[in-house]
Amino acid sequence: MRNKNIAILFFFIIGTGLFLFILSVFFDASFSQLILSINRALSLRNHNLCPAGKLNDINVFHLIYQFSIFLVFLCLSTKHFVHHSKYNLFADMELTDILKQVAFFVIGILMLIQTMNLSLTAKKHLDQYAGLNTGQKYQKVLGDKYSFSQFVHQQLPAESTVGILSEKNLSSAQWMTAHRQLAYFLYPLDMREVRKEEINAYIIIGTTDPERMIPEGYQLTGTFNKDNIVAIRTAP
Amino acid sequence: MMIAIILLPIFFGLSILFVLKLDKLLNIPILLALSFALGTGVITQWMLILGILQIPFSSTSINLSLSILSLILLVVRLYSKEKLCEGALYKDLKPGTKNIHTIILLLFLFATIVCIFIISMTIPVLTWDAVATHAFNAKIFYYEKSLTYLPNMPHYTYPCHIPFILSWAAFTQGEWDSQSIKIIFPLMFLSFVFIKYYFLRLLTDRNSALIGTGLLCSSFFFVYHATICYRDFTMCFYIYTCLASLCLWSKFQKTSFLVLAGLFAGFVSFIKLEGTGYAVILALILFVMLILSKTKNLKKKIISFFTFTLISWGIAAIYHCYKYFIVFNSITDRSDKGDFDLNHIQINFSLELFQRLTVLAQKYLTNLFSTNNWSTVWPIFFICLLKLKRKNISPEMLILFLFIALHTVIYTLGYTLTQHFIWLKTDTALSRSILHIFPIIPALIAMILSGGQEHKANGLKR
Repeated sequence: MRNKNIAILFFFIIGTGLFLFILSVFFDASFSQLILSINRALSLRNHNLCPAGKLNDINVFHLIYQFSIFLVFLCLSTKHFVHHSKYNLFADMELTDILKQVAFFVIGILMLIQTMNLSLTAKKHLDQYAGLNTGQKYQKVLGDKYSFSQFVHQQLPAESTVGILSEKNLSSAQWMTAHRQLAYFLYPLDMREVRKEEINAYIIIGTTDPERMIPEGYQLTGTFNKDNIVAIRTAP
Repeated sequence: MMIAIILLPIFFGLSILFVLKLDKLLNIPILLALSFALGTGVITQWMLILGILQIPFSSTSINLSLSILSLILLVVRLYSKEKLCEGALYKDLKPGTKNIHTIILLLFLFATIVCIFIISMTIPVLTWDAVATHAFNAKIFYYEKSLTYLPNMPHYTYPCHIPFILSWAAFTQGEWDSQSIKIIFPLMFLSFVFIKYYFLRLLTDRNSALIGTGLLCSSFFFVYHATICYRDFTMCFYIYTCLASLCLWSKFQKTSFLVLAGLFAGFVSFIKLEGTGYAVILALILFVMLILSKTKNLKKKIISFFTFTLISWGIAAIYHCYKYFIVFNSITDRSDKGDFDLNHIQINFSLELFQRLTVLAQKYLTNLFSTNNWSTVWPIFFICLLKLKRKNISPEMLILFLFIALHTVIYTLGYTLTQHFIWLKTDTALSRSILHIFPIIPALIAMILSGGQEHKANGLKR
């Protein structure tokens, strides 16, 4: 039984090689290019949906299903056309058993690819972020966005209520993200009207010549760079 | 103080498991895993109660009071003579390393767990929902130490389990650190893997249990969510643990499992808005199971049903009463609040329904079979269904099938008949709602593979 399982595994590995060969001819790509492309197509991630990448405009999962059908076809061919019982690995298997064997082999390969992808991501993270404190990590990922929040912390009294002004559209995806990140980094400086207190400072971001946008009754307290400044109320 | 974030929930959870006398039934790994899950749920409920009573949040007010309560529970257990549960259910539940498949699967699980810990603990809170809502709200709770500003916080109608547990982690270690508070999620993943394996092991054979656990971790979406501060991972964790407890109750008829299921169903209602819906679905499933049961008399059935619903709906009621009577009353201008709208379903019967159904079917099929979310777990599930014979469907499998069916029906109605169609159209919610039931699929595959029958060889006792 154990020998048979190993033989089936060996059979599937040969089938995989054959399928990759056909694909490499079809896509005019080398084996290594093909494997790298498949790996890349299976490594995309997002918190709402992990999309499947494409190879020559074909969804990688459709290729995986084609591969599975190819293996099932090979198994069925062996079952029906190989008459020598010693070499017919699938003689006593029903179609559902063959489907199950193929399905578990395919998911085994996918698990292997996932483990490789996860390990590479973990290694990349370790190379980039090991030994850094949280602030340094944010600095590395977000750059000026994070430095600006630290700058604002230095400029304003703790627990100020901060308004935000910009010539950019803060409802656009890019600037909304920047807004939320700033609000998160700045708290307990309140930028999202949590405490419902009167605004006593403004930050002006993503604006050329930002000083022109300083509201009346406020004065410049700090310039982070030419596009981002902080202003504080002068009179109560 | 990171060690306290690990040990305190385990201590709080263990005290409850001891009172339920589950230590007599379950072995140490599953007790620890369960106690972590239970402990985190208890902490956030306790924080809610403290908040309602206007007692300021602090490490002392949360951890000291819960520690005293846990000690009291342990003392109660020591002096309790009532025998709730007798007879260990376990006997040699370890995966073993006898064959190459087992070793490969164990290596895969080990590598996945290690990678998740590394990825999660090298990148601080960064993803959209976390920064915009959950971690932001947690930071407010940490700095303000109360629920005072809840009505002004982003998504104030959302239940607070994740913000509370993140702020609790910060209170426990004495500072707000966007990196170390994330330890909760990989720990939850670890706990989930143990619970998944040991529950399946109690219901199936060794290989099937390991395959079920391996298949769970083969989902890229599931694994990715264990590294970010989103609510859906915790949601699927608690739902699965609740269903697993119900399955164990159905199989072994120990009241402690029903109480455990009730607790988790209650905790589910405190994670997301739809959690309350899940608590109702779970009660409905129990109701059906009790109707179908031929071994219990009517009195026992009524007691079982009320044990579960009183616990789960009771927990849900604490938050909902607070929200409706205190939070909503403090909102003066409801017209401007999009959040308020989430609590009011607008049903729309029109010809558009057919178009929506087509979109829904297309989105479901694409999501299940053509994305990198679930690996090939769903096709395997459907292949395994071909092998499933009606006589092999155990009551435990029926519980899981019922949950999937009700989940699908309710989401289909929700997406097609209500304003929530928008979430389907924009691909923002479907994967996450499927994630809630995803862990059930590998469990069902494992049960089908094991023949859906009790394995006498593994030494389980009825």
